[in-house]
Amino acid sequence: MCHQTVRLVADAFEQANIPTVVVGTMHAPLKGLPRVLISRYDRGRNFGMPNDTSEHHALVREALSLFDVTEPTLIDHKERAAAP
Amino acid sequence: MSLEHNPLRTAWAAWLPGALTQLEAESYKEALVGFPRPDHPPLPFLQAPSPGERRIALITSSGAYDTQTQAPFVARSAVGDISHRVFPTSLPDERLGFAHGHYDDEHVLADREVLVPRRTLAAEGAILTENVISTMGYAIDFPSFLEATIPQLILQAKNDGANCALLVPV
Repeated sequence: MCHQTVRLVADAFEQANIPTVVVGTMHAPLKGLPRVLISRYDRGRNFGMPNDTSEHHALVREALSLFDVTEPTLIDHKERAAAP
Repeated sequence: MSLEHNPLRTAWAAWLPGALTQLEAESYKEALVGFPRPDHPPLPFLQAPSPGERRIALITSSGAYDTQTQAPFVARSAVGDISHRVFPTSLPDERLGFAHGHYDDEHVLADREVLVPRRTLAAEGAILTENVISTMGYAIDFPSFLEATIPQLILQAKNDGANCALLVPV
């Protein structure tokens, strides 16, 4: 439900001409948004484990880089992890 | 004054009575069968401002609130809570509480940066607006969330000077 409500917020912000980046943990509810990063972590710790500063920085850098893209972009770390 | 007809609210109001007992029992899978969801609009691609021009609104749905000045979200409500909180981006960690349920808050209580990465964003050069906007992601009343809450979030972000937003759902 949480990702679904944030999806509604992202839709509305985009329609209000405010570009969004969403850093979630589930892909399906966010499908179709222009800039999405799916974390490899479970919900409640989207940017990594507590005090894992280097991971927090890596994910934040990746999230900020999505503001630079020129076409809809999805980075899905869960999909990458599941790839053979 | 007449109320504008809202098909989503009509469908939601028809769905709710049959789902309420299951929501109260936290049987969400069963309860959400037939839950009326709005269509998502096609979104033209917006180019974000250049890095130096970006003013980012940080939006969390983690149920974050200022424990010294704000009431917690109503985490125990069967239909969730559509209200929102606004607190300074500079709020000290020890004042940042979480009222949400539905997720394990052990990690975020140990380190707020795992969900509300204010310091990490700043250290990476992001310019955040002066306030964080917070909701509780468990908000079953979609019609009211759409009609009443989201316009307030947009207004807050714009008043804070945001020209882009980073959203972190739980």
